[in-house]
Amino acid sequence: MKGIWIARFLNLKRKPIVLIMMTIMTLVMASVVGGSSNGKMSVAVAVDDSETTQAVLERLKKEKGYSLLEITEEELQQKAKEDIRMVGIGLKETSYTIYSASDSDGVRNLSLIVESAYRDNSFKQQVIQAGGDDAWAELEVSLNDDQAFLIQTEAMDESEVFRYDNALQSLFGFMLFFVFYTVAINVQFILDDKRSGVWNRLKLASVSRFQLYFGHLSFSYIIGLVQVLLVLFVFRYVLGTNMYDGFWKVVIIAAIYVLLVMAFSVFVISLVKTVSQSSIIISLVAVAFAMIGGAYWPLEIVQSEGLLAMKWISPIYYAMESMKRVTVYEGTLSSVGAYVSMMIVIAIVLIVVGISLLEKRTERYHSSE
Amino acid sequence: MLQAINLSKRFKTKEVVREINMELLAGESVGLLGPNGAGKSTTISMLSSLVQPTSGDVLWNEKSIAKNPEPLRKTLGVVPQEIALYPELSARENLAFFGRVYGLKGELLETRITEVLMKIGLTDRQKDIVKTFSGGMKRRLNIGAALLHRPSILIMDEPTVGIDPQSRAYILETVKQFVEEGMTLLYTSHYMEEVEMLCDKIYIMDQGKIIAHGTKEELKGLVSENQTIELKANLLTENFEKTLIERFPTATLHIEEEVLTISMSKSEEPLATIFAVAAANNVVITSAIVKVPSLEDVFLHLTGKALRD
Repeated sequence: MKGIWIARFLNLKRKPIVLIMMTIMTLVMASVVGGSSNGKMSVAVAVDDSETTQAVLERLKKEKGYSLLEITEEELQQKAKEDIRMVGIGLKETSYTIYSASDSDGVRNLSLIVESAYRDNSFKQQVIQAGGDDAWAELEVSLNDDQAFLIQTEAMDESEVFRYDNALQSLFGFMLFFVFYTVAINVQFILDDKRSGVWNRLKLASVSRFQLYFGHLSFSYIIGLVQVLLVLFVFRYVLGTNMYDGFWKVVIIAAIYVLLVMAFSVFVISLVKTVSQSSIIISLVAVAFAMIGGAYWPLEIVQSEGLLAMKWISPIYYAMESMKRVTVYEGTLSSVGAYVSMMIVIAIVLIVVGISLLEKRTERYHSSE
Repeated sequence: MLQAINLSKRFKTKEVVREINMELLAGESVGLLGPNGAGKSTTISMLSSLVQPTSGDVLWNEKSIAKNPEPLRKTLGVVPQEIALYPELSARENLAFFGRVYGLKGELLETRITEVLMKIGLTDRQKDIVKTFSGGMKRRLNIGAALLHRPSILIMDEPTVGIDPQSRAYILETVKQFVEEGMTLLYTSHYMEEVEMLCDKIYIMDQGKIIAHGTKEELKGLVSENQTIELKANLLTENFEKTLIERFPTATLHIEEEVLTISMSKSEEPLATIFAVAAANNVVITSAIVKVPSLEDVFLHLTGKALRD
């Protein structure tokens, strides 16, 4: 097995193009489509010198979903004219103005937060005016301790809730899509070795079938894993993408997904005769799986019943859903247990069936003289 | 000694090898001939323990290899018809890889690689990537990869397919040297002259069966009851032909332009009579060739001339 690893590593050293290209493609596509943001909406803010605006600004700073850029009123006006994509707020003592070319959920939420901040600040000032700072301090304590009612938030059935993070959608989607190719191309080495006769040479050297398959498959798995880890680390620690404290959960799901893709690739090569046939099938299937599995767009926006019914056959669907749930839905690993279990079960079945078919095919190679 | 006993192989409904019996004695060089689809590669695969026979057995030193192929595999080198190498690795890296899987390492591995590279004439190109090699160089390296563990039996499946005459000659000389050094050889090829040059004993297969076997001379004896004499002559006349028929009533004559082909029993010695008849009929014979059957004649005689597509 060590020998297979060395040969595969030397081969990778000479032809690293697939790994490099697929990693770069993931980074570029996820950055471009996801907007290379860290999951936060960039908002330009202009404030005057009043206490009210400072208080509202402090409140905005505490909000997780916004990345604030403080600029002057003139700069804000200028930016609003020049940059159609810009979202900005001009905060004044008694009023505020939101600059945005579109009326998105994000902009509406921002407006609600600002409005609420103004209202709270106004209430605070009225209390201070009437009873002084001590009265406000006393009231604040009592408000916190003796709440008239307690707001308890609980998620609805996850299928009914739609939370969307464009940056993560693109990152996960493209990562799962491109690693499909990397793993599949690596698994095809088994087919290559069988066709070229290297496989038989190794068998004659008393290398067991287990060692042969394990050597090839473990190497393919590691290469796929390296690619997804590289992508995840770059996005999390270099570009600062917000993963809602679910980074390591995403890593675990990605590791299981790579196993599933590897198993699927084994199954594909067991059905074909040549590497080029396998490449064609992988290319077609990867794109189809990405579409029906929600890699390119969230499945929540898909209207077609037929398309939605097919999502279950896509390995990408299980990984995509799991990853979204442990990040944007802030779920635990056990909350995605069903998806993860499905991935493991399908992977095992595909590996067993694939290797059995490959072994039968090996016999057929000898009959094709 | 490697023996095949009533060896058969069936793939689904197709029986590709039918009850063949073969034996390969130590130091012997044996050729396996047969048209495409005759079952040669399947036979080789079964003899080398890669494919399990449907029935029959392969014995190595009188012990079946079905359950324990290891003793055979340790002493066996197989040169497959395909170029079973990694094209992205250099010649030396390929040999190191195959040497390592045979358990060679360290200085021993390095020594064997150097030795093999010299044998196959690739010492100067050892660091070059295999995909940049010519067909002949790849074939030589393909042989080299089977020699690293110093096998005592070498099975070669059409090792000279698709290469230039120089490389072919080099490979044949190298294999001949192996045979002279006492290596046991099982060689398959479409090139009869290669088998004729290298092998003492020949098996001819067709449609999954061994249809003939023996030494070259024994096989040639199968078609040598007749001899063919090819005469080139000026002014071939009807009278000349008629006289020859009278003299050799069992012979068949065929004239095409200035060439007369006479086929007759080997027991006759006709040349003196033919020249005498020619002189009497004023026919000038410019050349006379007595054709002895070649291995190719034997092969075509046994397997027929019909195309095997």
